[in-house]
Amino acid sequence: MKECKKCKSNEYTNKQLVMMINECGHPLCKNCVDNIFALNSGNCHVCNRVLRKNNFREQIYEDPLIDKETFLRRKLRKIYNLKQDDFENLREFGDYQERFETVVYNLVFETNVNETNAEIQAFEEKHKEQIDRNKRRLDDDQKWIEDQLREERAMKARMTDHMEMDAKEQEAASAVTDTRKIMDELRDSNVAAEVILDRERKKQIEKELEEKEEQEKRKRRNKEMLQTRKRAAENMSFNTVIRVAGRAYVHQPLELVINGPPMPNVSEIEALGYLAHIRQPTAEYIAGGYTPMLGCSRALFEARIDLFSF
Amino acid sequence: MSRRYDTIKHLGEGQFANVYLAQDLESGECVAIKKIKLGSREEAKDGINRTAIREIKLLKEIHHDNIIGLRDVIGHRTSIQLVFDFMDTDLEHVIKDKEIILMPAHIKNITMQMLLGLEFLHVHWILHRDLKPNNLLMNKMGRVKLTDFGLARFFGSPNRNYTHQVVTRWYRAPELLFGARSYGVGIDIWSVGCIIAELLLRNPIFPGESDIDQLVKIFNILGCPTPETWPNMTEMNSYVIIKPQTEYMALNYYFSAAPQDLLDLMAGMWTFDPIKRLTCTQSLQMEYFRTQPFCCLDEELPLPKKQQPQKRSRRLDDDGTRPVRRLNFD
Repeated sequence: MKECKKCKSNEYTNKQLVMMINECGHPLCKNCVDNIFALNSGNCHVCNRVLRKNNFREQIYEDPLIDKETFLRRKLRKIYNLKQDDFENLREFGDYQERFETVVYNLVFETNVNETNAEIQAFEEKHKEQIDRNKRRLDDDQKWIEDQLREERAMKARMTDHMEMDAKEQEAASAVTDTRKIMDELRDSNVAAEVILDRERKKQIEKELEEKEEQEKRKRRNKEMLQTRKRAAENMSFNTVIRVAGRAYVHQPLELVINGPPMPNVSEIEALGYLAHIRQPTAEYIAGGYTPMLGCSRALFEARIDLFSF
Repeated sequence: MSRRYDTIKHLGEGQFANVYLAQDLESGECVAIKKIKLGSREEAKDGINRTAIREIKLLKEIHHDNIIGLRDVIGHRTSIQLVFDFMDTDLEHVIKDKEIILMPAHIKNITMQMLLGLEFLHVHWILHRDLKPNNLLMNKMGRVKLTDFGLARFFGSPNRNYTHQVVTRWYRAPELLFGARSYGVGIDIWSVGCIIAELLLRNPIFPGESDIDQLVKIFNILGCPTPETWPNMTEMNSYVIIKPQTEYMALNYYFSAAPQDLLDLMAGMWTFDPIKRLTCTQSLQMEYFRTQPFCCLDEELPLPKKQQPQKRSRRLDDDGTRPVRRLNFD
């Protein structure tokens, strides 16, 4: 379970507990970080090292050592960024990588910290040029990814271009044939030119109208289909009540099918002396809404329900 | 989960149960599965949760358009799962969504659906005992259904005491607040009145902070009951005298836009004497349902647009920090 060592709050007391971790690997909760590092720098509550607030990261792994390690690796990678072709042979590159792992191990478990830091510094000074150059250089994997992305984008652009061209060509072709036909007619027939033009214009307008209507019809049809489907789905359930919208509602009292001898109605219960056999309720009961009639009806109901099914 | 149902997602968590959205693989329909929490070992020793027993016992036998349908009960070792119709939203969300405008025809429709469902329950001698907007579910076809039968029970038995600690306080009838040990359909009707008022005001009408405060809020609006309007009132278990306010307004002061026939219906539902209070059947026969504007089609009922967050965790502010708890001094 996550718990802040400083303020002792844990996941139960604080649902939104977020643990933060810095380079020394001593986790703190976000609230504590905000409090202690309000001035952007402060001391670690465990090892007293000076830490900066903006170096705090959310703790991802349960073991703070792992977080610490990834943190250090990220930091050291900026210095130890030599590539394979910076070395003369594979052996040297392997040695370099092994050295790097040792440095990381030393820092994580804080063995020989001073020597290690000195080593890092020496390394940085020695390879200053290479490091600076490598900062701007991508390694092979990154290059490959970028290439792939670029290719994909180019492919998409080509596709859309192609499609657009096709559509344009088609349109142009149909327009050309249409106009050619009209021109032929104007030349060959002996009808007045205005008549022909008028007719063509009319045709075009009609065509547009038709398209519009077709679209609307399709829309309406879809809507109707949706509604009937809805209603059908509803009707599948136990549809006992048909409610009416748009006119006065006259309510028929609900009849209960008791499958037994008929219930006496209210006046019969009173007249036939049923109530004499019901205990008279106290004033408190009456005030609460209980009436002898209620108890009597319930008893009569219980006596009758499903009597005929035996 | 059973092999017949395919869980899609977690919908919410209540006091006794978790609710999941699932798909019925046999019919392809969406269903809501309520998985009863087991609780501690101590509780488990007492057998299964009593609210679950109530729901199963009652819902197994009642089928009505305006009552949630219990499709299936799955018992597997110690867990119980109830399979219900899936409903898209509830009235609480409808009321709280400020983008929705509830027209008189909408309110009439909702009221009618509520009363039809409730009448069916009452005819079958069942009291719901926990009516409130978030127990009234609505699906996207506009069908309103009563749900949560965890407090429901049979009524009308003369020699049984009933607890008065039922119904969410804001919707609790005065006889319950006075500690009545025996009551009838009146308590549900009172809640319906409060729900109609909430549909009109978009806010609870009697938001009492304690049981006494609840009575004060009620009496401030409706006036105090007198021995004439509510005989035997003083005999009740925890009757308290509340000093009557000298003047109070008629209902149309609070509901300036409501027609008179609706006010009559509400006044009838808020009659202090539970014996004189309207019943469901009487309410449905009121003038209100016969006058214009007539009730709309179910499909025309408005639905909340965006899905409100289901979990009631404190939300984070935009910058990711927790909001400062705001104090209200009003």
